[in-house]
Amino acid sequence: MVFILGVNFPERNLVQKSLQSFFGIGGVSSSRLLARFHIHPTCKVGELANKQVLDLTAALSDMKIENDLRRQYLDDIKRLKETGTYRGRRHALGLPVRGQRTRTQIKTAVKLNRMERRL
Amino acid sequence: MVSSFCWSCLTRLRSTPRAVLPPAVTAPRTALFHTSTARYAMPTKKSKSMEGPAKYRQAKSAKMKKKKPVDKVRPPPVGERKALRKRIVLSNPNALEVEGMQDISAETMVDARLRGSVLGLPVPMLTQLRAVEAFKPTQGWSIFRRPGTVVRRETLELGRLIDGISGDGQDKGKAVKKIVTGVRGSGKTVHLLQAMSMAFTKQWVVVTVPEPQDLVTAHTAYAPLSDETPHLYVQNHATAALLSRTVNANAQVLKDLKVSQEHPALKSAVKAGMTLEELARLGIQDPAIAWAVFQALWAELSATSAAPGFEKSFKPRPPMLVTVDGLSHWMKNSEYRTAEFEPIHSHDLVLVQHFLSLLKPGVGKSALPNGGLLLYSTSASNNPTIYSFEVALKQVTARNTGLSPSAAEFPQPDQYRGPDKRVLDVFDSPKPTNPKEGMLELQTLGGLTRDESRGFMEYFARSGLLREQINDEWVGEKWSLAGGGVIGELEKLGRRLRTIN
Amino acid sequence: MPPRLNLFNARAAAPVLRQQPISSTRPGITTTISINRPTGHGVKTGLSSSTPLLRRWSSSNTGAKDIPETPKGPTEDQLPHVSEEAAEVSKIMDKKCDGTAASPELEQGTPISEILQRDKEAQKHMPKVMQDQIKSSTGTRSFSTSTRRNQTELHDQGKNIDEQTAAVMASMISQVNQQAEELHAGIKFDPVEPLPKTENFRTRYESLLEQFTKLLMEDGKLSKAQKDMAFILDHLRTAPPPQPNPRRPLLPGPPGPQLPLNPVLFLALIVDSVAPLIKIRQQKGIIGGGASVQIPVPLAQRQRRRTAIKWIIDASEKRRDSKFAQRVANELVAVAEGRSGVWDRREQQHKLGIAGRSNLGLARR
Repeated sequence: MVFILGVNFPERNLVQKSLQSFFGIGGVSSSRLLARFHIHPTCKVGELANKQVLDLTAALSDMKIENDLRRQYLDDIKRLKETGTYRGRRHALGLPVRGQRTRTQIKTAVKLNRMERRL
Repeated sequence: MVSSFCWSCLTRLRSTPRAVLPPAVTAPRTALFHTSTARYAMPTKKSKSMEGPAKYRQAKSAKMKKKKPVDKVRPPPVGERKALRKRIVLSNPNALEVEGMQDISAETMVDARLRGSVLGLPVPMLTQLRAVEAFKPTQGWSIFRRPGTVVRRETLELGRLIDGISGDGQDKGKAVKKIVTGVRGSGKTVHLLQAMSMAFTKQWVVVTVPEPQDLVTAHTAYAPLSDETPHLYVQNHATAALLSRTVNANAQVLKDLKVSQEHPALKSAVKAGMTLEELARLGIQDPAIAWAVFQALWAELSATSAAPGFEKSFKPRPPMLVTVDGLSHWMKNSEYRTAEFEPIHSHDLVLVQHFLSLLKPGVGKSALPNGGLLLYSTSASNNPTIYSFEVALKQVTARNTGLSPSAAEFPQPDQYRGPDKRVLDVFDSPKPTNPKEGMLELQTLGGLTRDESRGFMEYFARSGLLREQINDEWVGEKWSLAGGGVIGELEKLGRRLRTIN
Repeated sequence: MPPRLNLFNARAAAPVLRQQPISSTRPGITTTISINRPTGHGVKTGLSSSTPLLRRWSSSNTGAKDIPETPKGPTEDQLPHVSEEAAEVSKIMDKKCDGTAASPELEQGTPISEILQRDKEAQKHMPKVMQDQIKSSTGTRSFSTSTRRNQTELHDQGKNIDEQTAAVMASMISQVNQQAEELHAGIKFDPVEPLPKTENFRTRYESLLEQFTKLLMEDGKLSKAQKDMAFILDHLRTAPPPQPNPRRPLLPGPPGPQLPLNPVLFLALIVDSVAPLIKIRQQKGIIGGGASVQIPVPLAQRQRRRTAIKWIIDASEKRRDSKFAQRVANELVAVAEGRSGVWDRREQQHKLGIAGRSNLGLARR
């Protein structure tokens, strides 16, 4: 078991996959992170050198991920609402924000768009 | 007969109390006349069938049957499936032993009379060949009693070459460089295998890269070489694997050789009087220093004389055979990325660079100072198409015919197709100054001749795998079917199973 | 000579007959005989004038000429001839009119001389040749009524000629052959043998292999199935030779240790050994009451093999090897050694078939 940013990962997991389990890290940023510390894409968590683990943790702690990012998301929506923009209103109403049609197919918007968005 | 009972007496009998009687069956009150049918009727069941018209509020849809939850079978342990896939079987006890089959030896490898026959690989050598991964799982070794290869024209030439380099003639200590090409199934890999087996019989040191692709697909660890050369990358685990292949295959030779040079990079680890085998094992044990160990080993093997202070245990180094099977994977960007997320060119990986630099004539001395053979083959089955590499091979041929690179006929790359200058540069070798060093050649393997094909097919028949009468007519037919004796196709025809009748 | 009368050929003569009545001016059977005789079908017309067959023809002619209005000749009201009657009877009784003849009358027909003996009117209008023959003959027929005999005679004559020419030809050929043989000793070219079936690229594999491969196929992936088949054959080639189970022997073939060297034969033996002879058909409604009856039905070779291959693949599902081809290959070896459940399945099937033999009679009804 290896700790990366306080999270425990089993050794047989891929490093790339483990990084992507953080909120805010997807395919591109994980690949870039790996390249930055010269970790090959098929590397397993168990194969990481100690220094690489520390480097990764340091790099992750500098990034805006997890709760910081979630907070930012919600703040952005809140700001839109408070300034009284159309987008803010749409968020509050649970309707599509970016000019999609609303006659049909707005399930995703109904599910997700609200002031306190679940993330 | 008259009953002894009086009827009037009977009627006056006291009725049994109700509690004593068994509880009466409550028949439906409606059927007063016939209660039996209602009583014996089976309790009405709700009909489950969907036939008939739907009743009020009855669901009538073709419900999907729920699939039974499949009991999960544990997947086989890690690595088992890959091991199964990469398994190499070299013997089939059911096949017949071919009588009078000779083995590859110092005598048979130069014997021109054996052309067209199949020479077996000596059994003790098989472990060595396995160690250098000379066999591929796709090759059909598993149907014969023991592995063997056909002696074709190129094999005989190869045998003479290897014999000459290790002999005492004028070719002694010569370095020959060849790139082996040919169509699919023309026997390039087996040609390398034959070279390895001959090198082992002559007590050479064999260094192989059986899967060049593995070095560039970003499946092994990599790291920058040093701070001075930030663009070069070293693959420690792959280097350790290479060392382990080399040591396992050449243990006998390396045990006899002692360290004879100064190795400043490995000052603490290397002791005087260490054998080369021990030196190499250092790198296998600690992949972090594997690259330094490999460099040291290479320096030792290519040493012509001992450094001052090491003279007493110095022995002349044997010639070397270096093979790479599937060169074109090394002619493009690798899958690795720099820290800035730029792709790394394969030539920036030091291991690749080392093997490619051998193609150039050595500076001051030969690239293989103790002589030897460089056999790099292309592949035709798993092969990226690289334009610059194709042009480079054409240029190699042109240079061998004596064309100067400034001549008009010299093949030049089309600049609009984005030729890779680094690829062209690798093969752009001037004529070597050292007389012991040969020029880079291109050897193209074609089909077998008809006689050789016949020998090959007879080997199938004598192993009991082919039930045909093998005559010239039949062989000629198969020779044509196999695209002019392409040996891989001939093998398929030999394995092809005919009817029972 | 009048040909043998054959009612079954009458249909073939229809086009001729359709034309004839048009040219005939005089109605009645005699005219038809006299007119039609040169064609060789006259007798037939005269005889069958009252049969429904001829009526059909004449009715088809009514557009051209009004035959039904013609006055009937004296013989036309007669009862049908005995052979006609026999034909009718046999048609009704045997219901196989267009098969072989049911009675000698039908086969032989009636010689025209018999008719002429009965029919004085017809004799007058007989062709001159026949009249001459009757005059010259003294009560006995100078000709045979059997067409067959005549035909053989004709044949004999023809044969004589044929034989003569053939002999000449044969002598010529032998002469040429002799000359050729003198020039080149031995035959110049070997006789061309037909190519084996598997030399055609469409049928390059043994039919059983092809069938097995197709049955291995999943989701239409033939190329994968072929790869699997190659794996199976290689496994049969390299696996240790089977230890035969005396209770469940394979079909007679080469001894066990030789089998791996011919994996196709090995595979064929395995499949054919467990192939069932019959299948059980569940048939409802024979005995009534909605109960179904098990009826054994024989299988053709290809069907038998298909069943066996299906069973083998089904049985291989239970194995634990990760590779499909490996599972099937192991199952095949198990069948060869008599360890497989496929054998039980086959025995079960045959037992059911034996039990259901009595139902065969029900099915036929």
